[in-house]
Amino acid sequence: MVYDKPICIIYNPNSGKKTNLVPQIEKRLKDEKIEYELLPTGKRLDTFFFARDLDIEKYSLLVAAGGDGTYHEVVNGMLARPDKQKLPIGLVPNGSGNDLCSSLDIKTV
Amino acid sequence: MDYIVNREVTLVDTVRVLIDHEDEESLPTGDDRLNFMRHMMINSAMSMPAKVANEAIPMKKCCGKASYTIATLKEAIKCNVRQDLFNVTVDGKKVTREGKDDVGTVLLMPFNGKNTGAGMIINPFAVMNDGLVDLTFMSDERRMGLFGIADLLDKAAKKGGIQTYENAFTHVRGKSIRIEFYGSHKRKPKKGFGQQLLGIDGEDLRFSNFVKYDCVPANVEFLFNPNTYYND
Repeated sequence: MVYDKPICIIYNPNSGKKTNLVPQIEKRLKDEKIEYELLPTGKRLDTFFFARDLDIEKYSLLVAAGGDGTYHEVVNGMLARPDKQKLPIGLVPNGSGNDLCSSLDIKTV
Repeated sequence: MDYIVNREVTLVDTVRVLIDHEDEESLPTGDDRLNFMRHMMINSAMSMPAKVANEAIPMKKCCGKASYTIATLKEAIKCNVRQDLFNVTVDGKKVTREGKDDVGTVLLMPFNGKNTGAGMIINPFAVMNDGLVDLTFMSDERRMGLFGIADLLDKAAKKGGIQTYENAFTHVRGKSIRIEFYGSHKRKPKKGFGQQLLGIDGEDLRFSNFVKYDCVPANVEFLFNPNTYYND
């Protein structure tokens, strides 16, 4: 796939042990010259509503950065969109369990 | 981040979970719909694991993976380690156990992927894009006490799924699985047991009567390395 538009990173700063991954994510994306927008979440279900309501045509990819709850809400928010549009989803593990990332062999940031 | 940079996309299944509703058409509209429908990526839990997960949630921030062990002990102290009874139907066929029409168990978990909380692998056969939902329940009566469960969960964390060959669990799979709560062991089945705990991908939900799991093949695209996944 080609990133012809920015990627959208939905980031839960409260997941897991609250490690701040933003500097790592930003450095890597800047090094790779990938444009991005960061959407930090505040409370439960923010992540769901971001993925459901955002202007999906502005982005090439959705990235869920957090724990299993964050991935679960991003997937469910996207699948609940009235326009039925979807984007591929990238996962950045920062939770206490990270079951989904473990299943997909995504072990580190 | 490597997978995001490498841009390799793979389609995977989701499992549509309907709570106390037979189909999407009968769901309420608006945000209330959220209480009755989810897409599951990894696993769901009923009976003991749902109670443990519910108990562990407030402890996760301070205790991490140890929160599940502490929560299991708390549930044991509250005498919540008891068999719940379920009517289970897989692709329209009823699951029976030892001639009984219902499944009596302390642990019942539908899976899409194989991982469970705290690094455990209870069902090593679940694959995320095989078009099927997997269901695992503990079926060895002799191990349905606290120590039996603790031993099996310890092995699930340490042995990466190999413990399944001890035959304490039964695994079934299908495109559609319906699970109806039917009361608890040594309590006469009757209507009105109140709301039961239901975990879906770590989220804490409730159901009253039944839950339906339907596989939706190739529903979302994830960025990961499929070669590593399938080799594993």
